[in-house]
Amino acid sequence: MVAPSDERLAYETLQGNLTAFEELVHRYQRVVFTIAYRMLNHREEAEDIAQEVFITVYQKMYQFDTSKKFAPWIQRITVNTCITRLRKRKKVVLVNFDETVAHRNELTLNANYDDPSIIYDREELKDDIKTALLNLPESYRAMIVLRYQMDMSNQEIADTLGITRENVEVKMHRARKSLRTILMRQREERRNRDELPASR
Amino acid sequence: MNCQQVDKLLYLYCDNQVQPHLCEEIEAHLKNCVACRNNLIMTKMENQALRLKEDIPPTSPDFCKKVMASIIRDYTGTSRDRGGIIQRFRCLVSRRSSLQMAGGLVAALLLFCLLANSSLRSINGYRLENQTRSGDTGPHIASGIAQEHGQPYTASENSGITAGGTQVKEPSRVESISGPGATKTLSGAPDYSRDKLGSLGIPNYQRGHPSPTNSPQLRYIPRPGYLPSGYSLARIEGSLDNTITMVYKNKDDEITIRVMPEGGEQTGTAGESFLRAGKSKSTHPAVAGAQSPAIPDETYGSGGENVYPKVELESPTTTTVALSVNHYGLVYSVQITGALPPEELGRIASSFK
Repeated sequence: MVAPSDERLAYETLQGNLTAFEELVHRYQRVVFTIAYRMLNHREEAEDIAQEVFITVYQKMYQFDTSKKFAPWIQRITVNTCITRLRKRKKVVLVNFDETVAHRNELTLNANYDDPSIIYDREELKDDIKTALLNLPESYRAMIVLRYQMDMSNQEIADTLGITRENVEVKMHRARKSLRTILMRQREERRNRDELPASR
Repeated sequence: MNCQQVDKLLYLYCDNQVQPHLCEEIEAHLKNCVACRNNLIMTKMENQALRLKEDIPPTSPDFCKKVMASIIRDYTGTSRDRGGIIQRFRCLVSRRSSLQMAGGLVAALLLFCLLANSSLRSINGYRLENQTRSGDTGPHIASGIAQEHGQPYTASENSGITAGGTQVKEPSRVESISGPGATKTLSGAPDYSRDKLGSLGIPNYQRGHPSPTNSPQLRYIPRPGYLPSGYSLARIEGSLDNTITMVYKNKDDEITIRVMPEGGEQTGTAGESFLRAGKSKSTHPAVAGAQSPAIPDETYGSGGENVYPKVELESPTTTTVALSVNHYGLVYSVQITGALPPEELGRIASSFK
């Protein structure tokens, strides 16, 4: 027997079938939690966000167009919920997709790629990436999470975030540049920390 | 392709999302550029690190149960079925495109009606000409129309009154409008079809009465079910004092029927006619609660205890019969004037519905 599609389950939920919604929760809990965890880097908070997302999905199910895909819709809700939570946490509203962010980071990036020693240490990079992600603006973070954690194409990201594919490409490039800048800065700081005790 | 162009495409190149011809150009550049090769290596390493998922902890085992419990508690009460009702209601409410559109249309229509009605109030009257009627005439209930002065028109006499006469059909279409006070204005005005007139509230019911638009049963004014042979509806006139005048003509003569809505409402079946009983001393239970009639006093004779319609000989050739008609729960005063014998007018009166 073929399992019902997500859209069918969404329709069933609208008809009052809570079992259908339960199945949707089963299917998407990992996706929602992963996005939330990568965005917030905090397990309990990510789970709280995931719960909030599913409740929002249930509340807003009547807004879902069952002729469209369910996955981008729930992922969008997840991203928006995470961004809202991050902004509340910081109590500072960051300007999304502000060109000055990327531009500023590009200016500070002064990597000489001719130098082979610039290449990362693989083990260090794993930790650095996590920290760097958290230092990215929320919108860039969301793009990178969707792209590399959810393995979504630019078109899928565009569908999820409700922007054009070209827009995604431009912003993804900026996000990557920002990420690189942060990584290089972290690397530089670590090098300086390591060198200071040796010089004494 | 220079380093800057390659840099922009590098992360796409790592994911094999670059078009083939661009891919060749990038590879040609990479062969000769050490910096871009290092950049490529770093980008690949970053991609690899970004795709790592091992560090993501699992959700708690009872996560799904918690979510469902929360939903059931907050949104469906104790019953799971209530969720369906709420969702269906929300679904209904959320048909924003259709509902908002419908709401907008209704609002626009109401606004139009208000504006049109207020503009029509400045006109003294208007006449609906060349009206044709069609449709169901329904049962005729004659409840004692005066055959002659003071004489009750009994049911037995009333039976078969339509046999020799003309069955009048309901109005189905108004083809044009003109009126003594409004002819000039309306001649240049847009065409008022019957539907539009209906939406404009013609006949102009008194305040508090349901309008024809919100009560489909009241779309038509009371009309006779019987007319003598040869008579047909020539025109309908409406005026802003809520009086509708229907003129039926044959070759030589005409019958004028004036219909005025009264203030009160009556219970009873549609099409029921009953007798007017003076201005305020009615003994008829159906008329007792009605407001004072809009029919001029002189057509009522002495009023008082008279429970029968007053029949007056206005001139040697014309006679007026006055009565009240309960039409779909509303009471109308009806005057029938024509150059006919009183009993013929009584038959017309008795056929009102």
